[in-house]
Amino acid sequence: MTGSLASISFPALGTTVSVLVTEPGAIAAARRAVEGELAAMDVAASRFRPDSELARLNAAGGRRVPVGPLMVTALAVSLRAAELTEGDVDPTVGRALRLNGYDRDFAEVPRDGAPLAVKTTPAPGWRAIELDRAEGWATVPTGVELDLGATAKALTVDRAAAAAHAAAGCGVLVSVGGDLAVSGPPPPEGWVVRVTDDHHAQFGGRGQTVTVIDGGLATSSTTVRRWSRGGRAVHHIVDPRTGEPADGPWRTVSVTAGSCVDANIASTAAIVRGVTAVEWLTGLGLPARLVADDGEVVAVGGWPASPEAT
Amino acid sequence: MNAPSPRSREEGLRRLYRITAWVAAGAVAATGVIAAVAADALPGRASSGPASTVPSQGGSGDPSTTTTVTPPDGSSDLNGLQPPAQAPSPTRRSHHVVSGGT
Repeated sequence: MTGSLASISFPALGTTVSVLVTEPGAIAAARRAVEGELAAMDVAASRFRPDSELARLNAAGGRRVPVGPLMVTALAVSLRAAELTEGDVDPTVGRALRLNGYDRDFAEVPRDGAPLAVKTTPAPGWRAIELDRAEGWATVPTGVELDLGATAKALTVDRAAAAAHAAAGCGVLVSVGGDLAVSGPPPPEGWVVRVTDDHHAQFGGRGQTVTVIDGGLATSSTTVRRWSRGGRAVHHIVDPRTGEPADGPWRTVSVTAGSCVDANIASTAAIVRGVTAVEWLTGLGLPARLVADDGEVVAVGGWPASPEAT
Repeated sequence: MNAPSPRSREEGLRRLYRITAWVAAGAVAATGVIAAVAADALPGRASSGPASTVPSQGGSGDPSTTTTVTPPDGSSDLNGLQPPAQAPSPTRRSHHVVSGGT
């Protein structure tokens, strides 16, 4: 830790949450604000809580279901992600994830198991979802299962950073499982972030250290949240076009953007998009670091060249 | 009941046309008034980018720049993915946090 920053970490949403503030006396207020946002999103969008709004929506059998303001926002963000990525990041991959074995909180998913009994199919597609933002209702067709994991976590990070900044009155950084957003005045040296394959690799993991001043940073990787079925490696980033785990050349992609949501959308889409991701990210002007399966690093959009081997 | 004469029927239809025309014109005018009032009264829609940037002593390239991010609400469908105000910079300092796959 540098200077007068204060930080606290705690488990939530099946991962680790970190809150950093530039005024140590404000850490408690910042944490309370962050916990409020985490709890609200869990009730709204958890795929593994039977009482969540998402679970009710998935189980509604095609009926119109009233949804609260936060769920409306989470759905709208997921549909925007699908539109902006031409379907690379699609909320209708829930069934594919379940059939691939990711059918419960990841801590409880067996790391090895028998071959998958059911063949996965392409995701039904985000255009099948109806959302009325003004009236507050949504419709998910029968057989379609939503998973907002790719965007809801990032949305929570953005909301938590804004709420923590408002509550603490100082600069804050909020990280949920390595996806982070900052708000308010940064420390003099900026927020110093180590990007690597695994966010648990606190000091030993290869990667690159950079400073972030504004917005959000997200890293998507196929090297973690992996399991095996019938000897076949499976991971959590599904290609909606096949229903299978993405099989591109990148093992890890880190992106900075104006928000954690936009960073996460881009990093997830880059994994799915594969070889064309470099051109796509460059065209969008998003600073990004892509690590190939063989460890080669490609930096685009103003991301600094890495002096370190990965 | 007696059937109406052709003349009274014609007068009734003309009256109906006049009423319909006035109602249509009134509806158009009311729509314009409501739209103008709403445009003036409601705040603009925020983008997913920085809501405000207050330069500090160091100027725009200084790390002490204050940036407050408005959480995305999914409404900026027509806006693309927004880049940060500043790209990340390399550093040899000790890191505060790790960003990696989870």
